[in-house]
This record gives sequence, C-alpha cells and structure tokens, in this order.
Amino acid sequence: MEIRMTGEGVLTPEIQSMIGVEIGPQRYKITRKIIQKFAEVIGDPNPLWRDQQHAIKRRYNDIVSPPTFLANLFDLNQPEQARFVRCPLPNVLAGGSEVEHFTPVVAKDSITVTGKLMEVQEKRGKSGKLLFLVFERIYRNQRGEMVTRVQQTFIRY
Amino acid sequence: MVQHLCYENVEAGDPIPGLVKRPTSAQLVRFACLTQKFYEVHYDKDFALGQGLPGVIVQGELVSSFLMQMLTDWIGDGGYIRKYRFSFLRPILVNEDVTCHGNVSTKYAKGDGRCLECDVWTENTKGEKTITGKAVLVLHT
Repeated sequence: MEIRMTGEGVLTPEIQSMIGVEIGPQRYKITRKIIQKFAEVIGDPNPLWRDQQHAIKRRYNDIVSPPTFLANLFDLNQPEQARFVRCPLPNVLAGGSEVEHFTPVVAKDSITVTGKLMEVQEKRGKSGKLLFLVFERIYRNQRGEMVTRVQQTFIRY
Repeated sequence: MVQHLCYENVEAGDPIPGLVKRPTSAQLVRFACLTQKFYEVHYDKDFALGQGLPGVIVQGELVSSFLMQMLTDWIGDGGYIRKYRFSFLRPILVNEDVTCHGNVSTKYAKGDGRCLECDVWTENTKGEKTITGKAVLVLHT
C-alpha cells in the first residue's frame, strides 16, 4: 500500500484515520495459573498473587492479579494498531504508561478489553522527527464494571 | 514485608523501603514469551546495537513491575495501588542492578479513602534515573 505523506510530516493519513476509532472487544479468562506464572516471571513473591488461602483470608474470592498484570498480558491483538503501522519512522520505543485500578481482578474473572488511539503528536528530537502515539485500553469484568484503564505512549523514531 | 501500613503512621516526606532487582537475560526472554511481545532489543544484542542502543535493554514494563513490588511490599495488607504512571528516561541494560526508590509526597483523606501520593523511580548502577513515576495508594486504615 502506498504511504502518502502529509507534506513534510510523518503523521500519515493511515495513522490519522485510526484516531478515536474503537478497537475490540477482546475477551480473556483470568486463570490462577496465569496470575501465578506472571508473579513468578516478574520475581514478586507476594503470596496475595500466589496463595489462594492467603488471598481468601484477606477478603478476596481468589488470588489477586499484581498491579501490572492486566496491562502487560492482555492487549488487543489487532495488527492494525497504529504503533505497528507503516510510517517513515520504523523504530518504536515505549514512552510511558498511566494505569488506574478501580476494582481488584482475581482468578476466574472474565475480562473484556477495548481500546483506541487517542492522540498523535509530531515532535522533533535530537536525531530528527518523532511521532508520539497515545493509546487507551479499558478493561471490564464479567459484571461490566470497569476494572482498569491503561494509557500508553509509544514513540516512533 | 510490612504487615499492615496505617495512614496515621505515614507522613509526607517519608521514604519507602527500597528494592534492588537484577533482571537477567533469561528473565527478559521469559517476560517476552509471557507478554507475547518479541521486540528484538530485549534479547538480540546485535539488533539492539544496530538500533543505537548500548546493548540488550530491559522491558520498561518489567521494571515498572519492580516498582510496583516495592510499593505492595511496603503496603502489605494495608491497602492497594489505585493509580500509577511512569516515564521511561533511559534504556536499562540487562544483567545490571536496578535500584527502586520512592518517597511519600503528600497524604490526604478523600471520601472513604486514605490516600498517599508517592514519587517513585529507578536508578542504574551509575546512579542515573532510568524510570520516574508517581503512584497513588489507598490505605484501608
């Protein structure tokens, strides 16, 4: 597909057309095994993420997911996401994240994820033009409650 | 791990007990596999150098998990993390110590919530900040 440039800019019409368009939903089942595996990989020994009896004694129905669990493991597997879209800036780096938690996520919850590209900004860095892409993802549980909101920035360079 | 952090026992300016982690090559690969994100800068040294990076770099999301562990270790059973945000300042090299730091910037009661706002950051072996961030904690008591 031909990439048409917007004047001298790197904000292509393809990326512009994605702004505000909702992607998803993607549905996931949260298992005890995946929570425990995530805790093991990040090296966090907290029994709240590993031991069901420990979690139940502390008012939870089952083991609890660690704070970075949802944002890291449950994304939108859509190849159209603008962070991967072709543009003259081929490289990408994570620029930062903001995460809000509203309700704990525990094992056996079912999660639905939707997302959208919120905004795009062209900036100039030391080595040339940069494109900042800000994405938002909303996570809801089986009761329709928003459990987590994630905002992530990716930098194309 | 502190068993139960209480709002009345915390003051603005208090430091948060730090944490040192050493992400290994194996851990980066396992994190990539688990998150299904296989950007080569996190496991292929030649690729990373070709991108202008000093070597294989750690996933920012993995290091932010270290910062969250520092906070949840401190909170214990006393509350939860309500909100956090991070900015990635510098690449973090694999197989080097990452030191997590934090302090309480403000405390306030809002509705039923007893909130602590915290500044958190990581430093590399040269003492340079690599990730900076803020977190809001809500304490039960």
